[in-house]
Order: sequence, then structure tokens, then C-alpha cells
Amino acid sequence: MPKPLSSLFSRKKPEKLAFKYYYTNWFKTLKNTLLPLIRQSLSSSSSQTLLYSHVDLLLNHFLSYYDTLDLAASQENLPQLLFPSWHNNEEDDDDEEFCGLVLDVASDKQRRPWQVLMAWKNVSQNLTTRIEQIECGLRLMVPALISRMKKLQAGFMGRVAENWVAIDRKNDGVLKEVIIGEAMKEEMEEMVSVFVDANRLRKSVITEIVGVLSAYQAALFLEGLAQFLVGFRDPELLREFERCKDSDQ
Amino acid sequence: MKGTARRPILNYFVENDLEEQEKDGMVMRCTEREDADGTTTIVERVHCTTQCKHETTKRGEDISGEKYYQWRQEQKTRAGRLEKKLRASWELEELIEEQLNRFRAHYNNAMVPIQLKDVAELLMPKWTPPHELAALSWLGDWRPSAILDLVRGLNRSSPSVSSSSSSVSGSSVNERLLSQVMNEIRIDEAIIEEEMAEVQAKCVLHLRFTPLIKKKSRGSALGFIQEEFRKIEQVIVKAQQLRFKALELVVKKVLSQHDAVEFFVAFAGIQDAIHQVAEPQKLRKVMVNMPAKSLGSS
Repeated sequence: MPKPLSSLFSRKKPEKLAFKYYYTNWFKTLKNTLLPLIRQSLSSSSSQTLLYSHVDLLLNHFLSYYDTLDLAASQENLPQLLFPSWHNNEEDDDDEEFCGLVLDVASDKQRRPWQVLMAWKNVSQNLTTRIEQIECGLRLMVPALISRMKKLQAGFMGRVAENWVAIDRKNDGVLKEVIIGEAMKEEMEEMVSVFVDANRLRKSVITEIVGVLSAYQAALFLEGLAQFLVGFRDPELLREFERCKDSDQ
Repeated sequence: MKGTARRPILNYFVENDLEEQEKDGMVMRCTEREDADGTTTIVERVHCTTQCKHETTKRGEDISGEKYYQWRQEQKTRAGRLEKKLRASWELEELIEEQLNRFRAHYNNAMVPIQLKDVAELLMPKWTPPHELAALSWLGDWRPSAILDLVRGLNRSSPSVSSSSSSVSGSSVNERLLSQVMNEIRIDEAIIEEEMAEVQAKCVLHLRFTPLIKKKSRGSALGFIQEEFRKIEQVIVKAQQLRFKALELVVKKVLSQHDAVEFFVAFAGIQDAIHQVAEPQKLRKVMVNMPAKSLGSS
């Protein structure tokens, strides 16, 4: 493995890291190292071998992010992982976006070598079918995950409400917080498994998509995905965004 | 305002006065007689108590104008007390209406996006700690169906409700009505979720931020975001309206006056308690144990 990543993970002992710090580094690596690398290998001067290795790097970078999310996912941490202060609000990615992205990369018309420009021209029926199959699988899996989350939230509310009248009569503020704290803990413990399953789905979708693509197609797809994440953090865009008074303007 | 608030209450009171008075611990035992003529029943009981009291002290007195005068005085006092209760009930009804109006204004006017950044702010509000959001949030606030889960949970746990339910006509929280409202709200909720999923799934097509798109016209990335956010804004507005709809249906259709008041009190109390529990936890640092092995080694 090339240096930028291995240097991050090559310590002997497990390293305890603030997730915020991890995310900042992960994002910087994506933006400053891996995105330029894949662009470079998509330009005319690059070799096939380099392209393969950069696709691999970028793919692993995305997968490692979800692995790290899983590692951090505990009952205590989950709420902050779900609603992170280190993200932009508008940056949350959705599984189904990956498929949309793949089908759209076809319209990219940047000045690039012929193989790259042709990578998404005349996409074979076979490939279209495979991508649609992946999307179809997703559309089956996502509602199941959402419904599990919904049930957990309803369970939490039910549990709190059923105890409420009894605690409320005792007028004991501490007891109220204990009961709610317990119910919340239980809900989060179960929600961790939904979260991990959702990450597994994200990983498998990206891997499956890259698996059915050619090297050029995969490179363009991953470039698009990286660009999507990086684009949201464009400082100039964020400034304009903050300034924008009316959503109708 | 007052006049409009009173009319339905008056109707309500005529229909339910017997039940209400039982709740106040006043009269009522037998519904059959009340149905025929409620007022008479009350008068009879009052009369009965008065007689018992007077029988011991004034036995032997002749029927006289004095006695009739006392009887009238007694009636006036009793009626005055009843009227006081009636007025209190009107006031309560006005308070409930006022509370609903506050929620209407909150969900339909105050908490809707005005600026572009409000959309993101409302979806992931900074004023709500992550534990509170994770425990119950749906598009940034309570799930409309959670409001109904709360009613159902309160109904199950409230001993006063279950004890009165057997004596009066069915449960004071009408389970059948509650289920009906629950179904309706859940369907609406699912539709809104579907709309949001569709926006998210498609937004990647428009928000690619490729250098090419950015150069095409000045600020076009922002233009794309605006377009997408406008769609999300519509979803948020619908979600807020549905929250209010759930509240309104529960309070006006499902719950009695007494239970509506209990519900509002519990709703505020639970929101506050959840916030109290969640708030200190937002300061926790999220740590992760990174594996010792490098990605390359196995």
C-alpha cells in the first residue's frame, strides 16, 4: 500500500483517536491526495497500472471510513455519529445516490483521453442490467432498515409514556431522567445494529458497483463520488450558501 | 374569540356533563337516569342531602313559606357552584384551544425555512442535542406518529383512565378512534418519507460539483443546491403540517377535555425530560480504537 494511508494505520498498538480528528484527516486525504491522484491517472499521461492502483486506493478509502464508523459505533457514541457536529448538515450521503451517480457519469465530457471519454459511452445492456439489479436490491433493503429504526423510536416513546404517569405523580425529577436514560440506552444499543447493517449495505453497494465496472468506468465513478463529498465543503460555496437570504432567490 | 370558543364547549358539556361531573367527584352514579333527564337527577340528590340534614334539626316544623324560601336559597347556592364548574370547564377548553393555536403557529409558521441555510438547520437542528435527535427525531423534530405513541402509552399507564373506562361508555381514550388516526398519520408519514428519499436519491445527479459545471455559469453549484433545497423545503413544510395534524386530531377527536389536558402536560414534561437527559451527553468526545495492523498487512 502506498504511504499516505499506511502511515495512518501502521502503529503497533491500537490507537485511541477522537473521531472528529479521524474524519478531518480522512477528508483531507480524500480531497488533497486521492482525488488529485485519480484525476491524474485519468489524464492522458497516466499508465493503466497506476489507474488500477489509484482506483483501489480510493475504493479502500471509502470502505475504511465505514469500517471506522462501525468501530466507533457504541451505544454512547451512536447519536453523535448519526448527527455529527463535524459534518456539514447538507453532506449526508444516501445509498441510492451511488447508483444514480453511476448512471450519470456517462454524461461527463471533460477533456480526457479517448478511453476515458468512451468509458461511459455506449454502456452495454449487460452493465445497465447489473447496475439496475444492484439498485433494485437497495430499494428492497433500505425500507427494511428504516422500518427497524422507526420501530425502535416507537418503542422508546411507548416505554417512556407508559412509565410517565407513575413517575410524574411522584414528582421525582431524578427518577424521570433515570427512566428516560435507561430507555434511551436500550434504544441506542439496538440502533447500533441497524447502523452497522446500513454501513454494510453502503460498503457492499460501492464494492458491487466497482466490481461490475471497467477500470476507467470505476475511476470515473469513484471520482464523481469523491467530488460529490468534496464539493459540499467548498469554502466559497459555503460562503455563498450562508449569504443566500431566500431559498426562492 | 370567546364566543366561538364557548359554543362547541357548550355542546360538549350538554353531551358530556354527567361524565364530567363524575370526574370532578361531584354527583352521578346512574347513567340511565341521567340520559332521561340529567338535571333532575342532580336536583334529586341535592334535595335528598338537604332533606337529611334538615330532617335532624327541624323535624316537626310545618310546611311553610320559610321552608320553601330556604329550599330556593339552597338551590341558588348549588346552581352557583355548578355554574362555577361550568365556567372552569369553558376556561379549560379555551386554554386547550389556545395551546393548539400555539402549536399551529409553531409548526406552520415559526419553524419553516425562510433562508436557504434554514433547510439544513431544521433537518439537523443545532439546538437539539444528538441523543435527543437519535432517540426520536424524524426530519428534525418529533415523528407525528410518536405523538400518537405517546397518547397510547399514557392511556395504558394511567390508572384513572382504566378505572373510569369500565363504568362509563367504554375507555375514555377511544382505542378504535386512536388506531384510525394512527393509521392515517402513518400513511402520511410514509408518503413524506418516500418524497424525501426520492429527493436524496436524485440530488446526486444535480449536485456533482464537477469543475465543468461550476464554470458553466457563475454560482451554478449554488443554483443546483437551491433547487434541491427547495424540494427538501417542501418536504419539511409537509412534515411540520403533519405534526400539527397529529396533535389536532388527537386533541379534538380522540381525547376528552380532561385527557387532552393531561396529554399536553405530559407532552411538555416528556420533551423537557428527554432534553435534560440528552443535553449533557452532547459534550462527550467520540473516540475510536483504530486497529493496530495497517491496511496492507493481514
